Amino acid sequence: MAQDTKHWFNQGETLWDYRRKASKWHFDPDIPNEPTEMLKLNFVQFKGDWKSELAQTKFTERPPMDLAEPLQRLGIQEHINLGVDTRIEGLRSTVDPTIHKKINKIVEAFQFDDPYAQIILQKPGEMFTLHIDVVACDPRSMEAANKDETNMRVFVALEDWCWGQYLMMGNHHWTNWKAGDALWFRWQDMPHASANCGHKTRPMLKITGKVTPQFKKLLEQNNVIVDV
Amino acid sequence: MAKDIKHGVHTDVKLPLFDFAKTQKLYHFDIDKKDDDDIIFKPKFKCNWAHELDNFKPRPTDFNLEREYTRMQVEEWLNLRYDVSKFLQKMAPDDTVPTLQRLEASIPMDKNETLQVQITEQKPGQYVPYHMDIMASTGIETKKVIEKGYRVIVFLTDWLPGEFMIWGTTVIQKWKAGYILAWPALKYPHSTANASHHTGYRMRWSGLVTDEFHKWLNSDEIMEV
Repeated sequence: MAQDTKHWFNQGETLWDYRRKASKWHFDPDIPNEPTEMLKLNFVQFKGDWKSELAQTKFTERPPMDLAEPLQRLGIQEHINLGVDTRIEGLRSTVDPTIHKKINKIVEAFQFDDPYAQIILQKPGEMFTLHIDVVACDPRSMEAANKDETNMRVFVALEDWCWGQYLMMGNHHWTNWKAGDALWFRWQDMPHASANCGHKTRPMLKITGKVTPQFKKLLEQNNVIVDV
Repeated sequence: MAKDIKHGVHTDVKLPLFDFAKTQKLYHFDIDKKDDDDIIFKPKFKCNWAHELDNFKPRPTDFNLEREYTRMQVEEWLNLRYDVSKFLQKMAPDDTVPTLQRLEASIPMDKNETLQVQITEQKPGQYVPYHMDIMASTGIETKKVIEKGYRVIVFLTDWLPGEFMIWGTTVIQKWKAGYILAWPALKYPHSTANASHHTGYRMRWSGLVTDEFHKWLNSDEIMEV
């Protein structure tokens, strides 16, 4: 047992310190894997060719960086404390059903209520430092964010993994994914990080939505193949 | 099988170093295939050097662009839009870090050739792009590097989530201070990134190997420094 008890920011008010207190993750770097209550891979997998949709996607959006919004400000404070460029996360694009017809079918397949989906393009040299999510689309209190059991979050790989690309959820290092592979995780609890040190860009679909009975049923499955 | 036949570097460089290294055919480049057993990752040293890390005097990687292979590597990375200011910071062990100086002398690589030893510091947000080691900065002849070049890393700090390393298809993680990672230099493509919240320190040897080195490497004895 090597539970990390030291890992807190000791300067400034950070999202990490608030979210870590609320997290149920074990914070033990020696535990080899994560239980399916925290993380599940490929309960559903998507087959199809959405290359042309990616090719016509314009990545112009940045992560929210409104310092007047307390939850966003706390996240930026982490980057500042770490000495990391606040633009290190790169650019993204909101899924547009008129352009992303197939990708939107992926979004719909999870049957969330009120889903919001973005394609995050991680270029070589970009990364997400270790963090615990907060669903900060609408401004609200940290207390409400810490009690949020309504929103769910999944990632879907839109291209095969390439060398130099990293994604870690808790202690699980996700590698060698294939286009269409899906990952659900308890964003409420799991610290995660990613980086691209490779030669190619890494597009990843991120979907956030309200949980439904249909989604819960899907999450209980394994390797359901959905053609889009 | 998912043999990667396309993964060259598409840059403006006539021959990126990565593509040159691929022509040596030392690695399979199959993302679904396990690596050979010559990536050695295990505990090897025991000592407390944590207090000496405060004496780390960082300097940027000293790319000497007069060297052909260094030039090929740097041009490749620049064409991929990498920011060289985010690479590792380094220092050679000196008398401000006496324990690490003793550690420096503990790995029996070929002393008749150049042996380069550096302490490296990787802060959050820093990375080393995916590449293969030709060890150009050592000045060792390329043919010798291909045949007998080795690199050894000793981890000086424990792993924390967000510290990323993949050598070939082998994920390297959960190390403790005193673990080593050793590999035939040019064989394995690799990269690292630090997306954690702490600074990672390592010490790195670049040189040629001897029978004595392999005997040392294969031994599971833990050395006290």
